[in-house]
Amino acid sequence: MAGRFLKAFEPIARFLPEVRPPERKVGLNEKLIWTALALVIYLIMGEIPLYGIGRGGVDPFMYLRVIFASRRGTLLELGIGPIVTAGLILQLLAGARMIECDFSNPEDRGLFTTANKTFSLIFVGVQALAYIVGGAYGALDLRSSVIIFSELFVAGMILILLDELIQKGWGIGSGISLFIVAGVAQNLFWEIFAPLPAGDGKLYGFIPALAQTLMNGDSIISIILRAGNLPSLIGLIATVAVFMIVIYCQGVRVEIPISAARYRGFRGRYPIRLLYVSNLPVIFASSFFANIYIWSQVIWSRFNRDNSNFLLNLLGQFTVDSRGQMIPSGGLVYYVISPRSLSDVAAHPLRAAVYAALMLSFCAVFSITWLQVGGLDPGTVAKQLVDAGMQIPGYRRSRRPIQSLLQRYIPPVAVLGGIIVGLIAAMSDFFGVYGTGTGILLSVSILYQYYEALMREQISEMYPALRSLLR
Amino acid sequence: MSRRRRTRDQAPMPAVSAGLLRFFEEETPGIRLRPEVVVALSIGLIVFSILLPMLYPPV
Repeated sequence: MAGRFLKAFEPIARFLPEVRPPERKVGLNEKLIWTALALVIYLIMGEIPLYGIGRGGVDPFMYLRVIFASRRGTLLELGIGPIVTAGLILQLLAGARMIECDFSNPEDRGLFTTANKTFSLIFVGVQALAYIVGGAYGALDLRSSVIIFSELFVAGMILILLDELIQKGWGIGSGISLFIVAGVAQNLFWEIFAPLPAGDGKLYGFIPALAQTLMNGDSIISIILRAGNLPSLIGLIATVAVFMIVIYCQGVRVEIPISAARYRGFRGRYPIRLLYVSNLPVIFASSFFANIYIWSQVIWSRFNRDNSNFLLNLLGQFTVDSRGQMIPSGGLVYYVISPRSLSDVAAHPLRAAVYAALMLSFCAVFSITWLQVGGLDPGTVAKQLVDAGMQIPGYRRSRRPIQSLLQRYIPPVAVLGGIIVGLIAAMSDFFGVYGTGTGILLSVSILYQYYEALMREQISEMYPALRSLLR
Repeated sequence: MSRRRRTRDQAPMPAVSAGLLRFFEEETPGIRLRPEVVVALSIGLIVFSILLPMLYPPV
């Protein structure tokens, strides 16, 4: 039975736009077309500037943008941030039993989806306001403000619908994942190939800069470490290293042998992956940090422009540079934005240390929390295994012994995974990894999921009879 | 009773990794849009955002 909180969304449900689910089985080719179409729309939206906003300028928020698939000053300013934030918050509330929701009840699941969408829309509105009021675009007159707000709001709604379109069976995978990967790929490409002039007299991208260095006979040192967080050789090596580490971690798992109680001879394994709680801790940490950044910016520009209020200084101090950009200079917000290169780390070791510590502890603690929230804790998994008619050979076929066996593996693996993910994210930032460590982490696991989904689609298309087994 | 048994037998295997929980297979009574409409909406927004600064240049 839905709780009072979810019930409140019942009347709203009728007014929310949604994508019509396909009435027939959509073929693989058609799915690919819809997916590609959504992707193209996303990429175009990332090139359309908001009303009266010029592109360019340094963006301290740039590295947090990767996981939200957002692009500064364009229709994708908010990206999928609101959708992810809404999803995380609702799931946390449900996991903490602060809202009643029985996920095995279809009616509750429907209401949960409605609540999710409503929250996403609210966050779109609130964050758009925060950007405009917080002065992220400088001073705006009323007309521009209204136009920019409407553009951001409609764009947010379209992203919600595109994601839904893909998830409802018209496309493959999920829109959110697709957009994240596209953003990261774009970013990587940019860092490697961009032929634009950069601050150190070379071109921005690594390859053009390398070619320039060799042709001009400049010292090779100037490309190994570049000033101003430009893509350097160290960054490239670190990027390749992170890719390999992440791919390796993706495969690490503890396998618990299981067998079907009813059909003798069926043997399988229940894998407890090192990245068991997956990337959610790092997404959560980053989105938490991003929100600290947005809100401290709003509060600072409204109430604390001279950095004189002691309490507000604890939250965040900024300085405004010659271009009118707000640069964090102290308070909590200073420590949730990572230094982006080794020279930066050397110049601000305390900031780097605090950032890494925050990231690691946040990821570890949140991994444990997410076991409960995501229904991945030993108790729930044991119950599900028993319900699915599975048993662990050598153990009694009941919940208790299975739970105590799982208890030995799941929590340590989850915490370890969380710490490793946090470590990869923080270290990649320090080495100036292209596309950020978090971005690579997310892309690799998303691409892996996509590969599996595509395989499933292909097999079920070739052998329809196998479809029920693959579900 | 019999319904309850059936759901138990059909219980799926537990998930092997976490993700955001999202349920799109359920019926919700919203305003139904065909996917073509969503695409048209997006194109509309893109065209609007390109034309507006041309027709009414920002001050």
